[in-house]
Amino acid sequence: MAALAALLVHIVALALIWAPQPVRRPPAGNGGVVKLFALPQPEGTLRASSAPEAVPVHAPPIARARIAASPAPSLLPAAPAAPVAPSPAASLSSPLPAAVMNAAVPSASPPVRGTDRADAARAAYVRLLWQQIAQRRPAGISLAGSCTIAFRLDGQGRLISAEISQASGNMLLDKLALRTVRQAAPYPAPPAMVADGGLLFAIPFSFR
Amino acid sequence: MIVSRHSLRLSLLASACLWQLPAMAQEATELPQVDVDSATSPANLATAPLTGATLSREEVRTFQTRSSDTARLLQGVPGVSANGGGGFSSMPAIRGLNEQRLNILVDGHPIDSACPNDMNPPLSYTDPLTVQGIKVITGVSPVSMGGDSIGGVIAVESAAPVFAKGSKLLIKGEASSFFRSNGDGFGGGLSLTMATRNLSATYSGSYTEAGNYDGGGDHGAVRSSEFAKTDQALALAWQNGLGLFELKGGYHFSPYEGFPNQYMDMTSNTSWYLNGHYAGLFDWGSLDIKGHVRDTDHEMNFLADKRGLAGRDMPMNTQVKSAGYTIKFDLPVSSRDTLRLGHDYHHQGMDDVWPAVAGSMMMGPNPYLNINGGRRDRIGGFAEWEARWSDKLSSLAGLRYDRVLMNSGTVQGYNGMGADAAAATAFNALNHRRVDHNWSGSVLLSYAPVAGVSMELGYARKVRSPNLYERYSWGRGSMSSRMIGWFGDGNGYVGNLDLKPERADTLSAAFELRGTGKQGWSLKLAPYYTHVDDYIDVVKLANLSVLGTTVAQLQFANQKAEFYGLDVSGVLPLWDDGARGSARLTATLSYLQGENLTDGGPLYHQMPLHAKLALEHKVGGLEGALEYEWVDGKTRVDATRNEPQGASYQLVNLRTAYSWKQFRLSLDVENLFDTGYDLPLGGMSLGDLLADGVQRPVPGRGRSVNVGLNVRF
Repeated sequence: MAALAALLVHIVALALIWAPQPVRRPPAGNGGVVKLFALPQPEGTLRASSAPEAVPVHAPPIARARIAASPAPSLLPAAPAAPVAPSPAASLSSPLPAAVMNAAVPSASPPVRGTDRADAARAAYVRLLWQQIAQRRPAGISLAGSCTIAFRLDGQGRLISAEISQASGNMLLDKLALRTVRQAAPYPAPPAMVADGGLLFAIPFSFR
Repeated sequence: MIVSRHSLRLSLLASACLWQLPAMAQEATELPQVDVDSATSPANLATAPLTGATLSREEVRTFQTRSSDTARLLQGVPGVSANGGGGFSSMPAIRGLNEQRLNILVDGHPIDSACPNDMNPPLSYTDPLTVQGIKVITGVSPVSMGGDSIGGVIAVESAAPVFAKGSKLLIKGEASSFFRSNGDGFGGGLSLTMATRNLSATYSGSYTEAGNYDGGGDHGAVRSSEFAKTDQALALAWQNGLGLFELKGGYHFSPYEGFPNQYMDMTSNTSWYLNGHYAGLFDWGSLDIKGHVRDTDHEMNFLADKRGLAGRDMPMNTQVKSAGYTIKFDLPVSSRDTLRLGHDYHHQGMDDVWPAVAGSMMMGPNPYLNINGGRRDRIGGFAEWEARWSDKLSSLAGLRYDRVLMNSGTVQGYNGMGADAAAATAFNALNHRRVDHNWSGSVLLSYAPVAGVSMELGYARKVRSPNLYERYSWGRGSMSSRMIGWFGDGNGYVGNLDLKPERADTLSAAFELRGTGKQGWSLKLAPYYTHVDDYIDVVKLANLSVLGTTVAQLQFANQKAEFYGLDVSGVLPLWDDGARGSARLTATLSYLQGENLTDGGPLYHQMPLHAKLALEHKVGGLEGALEYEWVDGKTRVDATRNEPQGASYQLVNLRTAYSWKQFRLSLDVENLFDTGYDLPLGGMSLGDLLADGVQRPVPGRGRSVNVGLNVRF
């Protein structure tokens, strides 16, 4: 029975990969963040919501909120809609964007379907993880680029593995992001609800 | 991205056959993005303090049409001014401290000047057309940035190497050219990068040339201000699991550069260099190793304008060979603390010889050995501790030790007659070896209590040893002493073997307010105070009569000096709506008082109170700016050097540019009203004096219409 389920999982996974992937570009531009494939929950775990897919925490609304709070002005004609590149005045001295300054994690938007307790717990746990990593954020090294680190935790919050899932093109940046995630461990133990839903996370870094 | 998807498919296919997954979901929960900013913040105290400013490639591009002189580009930063030299060799000064006292780095490496008149300062080897970014720190800087300086930092950077992300070859670059009506200046530059995922090669080259420029109003042509030069460089980078390896080689050649404020002109400057760099990141920290080698051949004589009264020929050749390395360790010892350890070494060897002139009674039969086998070797180490107490508060404390060893060989004059012969004998009887043990330290505190408010406080004790000319210039004759000096004042200078290193205590603070919102306003106030013990100023030895004028013969001597002032800068957005585009107002103001505490008079070449105001407007691809500059009269002058006073003046510049796709066309009118004015820090116009006996300060540039074209690909 389990073997059949596993095979089903793989067949569906392959089908999903071959289907065109919606790639969500991160607000900071420069390299897309691969949205890691979302698999349907195996039939063994029924969830209260009728969602056929597990819904990862969506960042776009958060990113938009962050842009609005950013004080950095930009007069460049081709200003991207994303977090604006520092303008000449801003480059003279621009503290961290307001959202980060107050060490506030941009609040995760509620999942698309309902207010599932597991999803809310996951969102809260993700907030904790983000805060822990952001606190150990490295100082700027005058290199620009974006990369994504995928990392897996165990039931106690210890880091099992971390790898570069989306490289920036510059190996030093990738290594720095990877080291940040590794050295921020151990992370808080995940609540059981969250642990059941899987402990694979992906965090994008944007260096400017 | 296609590559990673492909490998995902492959691995999944493989795992499908081998893997018996328990019922475990594989979705990755995405966290919000973490932004790592290199801009000023308490987290970046060691690399971007609040008193600093960074000029991006965009800003340099805006001004490259106007000037080929990188030092003049920096004058937009409050607290930075430029002591005039040749057309591409101005010497920057920060808060009253001149170029010799600053820490100037190009690609992270120091460059030695190789000239008794400092005609080839470090920034003269850079060209705005190919400069990618400039970092300036006007206040206290951390000891990890370098030693052997008592003032701020100017770091000119080439672009960090870029690599391709996929398997396709990456080709990008930028080409620029310009024409300036005043002086018929023209030139061009090219930066070209070709890269694969692991290898990157960047070529950068530029050429610039101009004739004598005209002063504004009825000042007429400024003699001996022509120049031409080319800079070429090739940088290779290789990134792999061990880290980043870089090798850069370059060549600079200038066939001529006139110096309006010197008795001599540069008739050839050739310099080649090789820089190596390794950067590695490990779990225990990061390691950065830099090494450099440079060979410079500098020749002086008279260009056409000076031959009238100076004569036909007086060759002076300086050769400098430099080598050095820097090793830095960055060790994050806890989530809060970072320890930085570093060691650096730099060797400078110099020969400054003035060959005999055939048929001249005075300049022969022997070559004049000004510096014979001179050397200046620095070895240093530092330890720095940085603590990030929270997102709002950071502190930094560092200690540095530098050992400077200097020596010079036996000297001789052209012949056995006159003051020089006696001076050579006296000089050769003495021991020339000097060793300085210099201890420096700096402490910085950065606090950003709420969003929009930042403050910084810094204290530093920095020490600088004298340069080779300050210690070893020995000639006492009128002509030989007037060949020494980078002050542009026409005076003669004599070295002093007993000079002690300068020791400066600096207190600097910065306070910044920023408005919230997308187009916030900002205001920065930065006061400072510096007290220098053993400041190397001058005492008067005698008066000299030159071409009907009287100048002074001066000797370097340790005295006491103090500098204090305030730098203010602000930005005010005016409007930002689609149809009318966006507009903003920027303003800077600098107040400086430099005083010699030993004789109670003002110090030489202190920039008077000045302010700049600019109205910038952008709509679509069109951008424009109206700039207004006001400089107060120069009333605080150094009487010992016969420094003349100067009148106040106002300048208006107009700047427009149109960008379309990857092209940018710029039209720039400098000194719109052709105002005639004297450069407060320009020195005396010796080129004009030697051409037609007229004595006056060096005039500023008259009106110039500058056109530039830039393409990025």
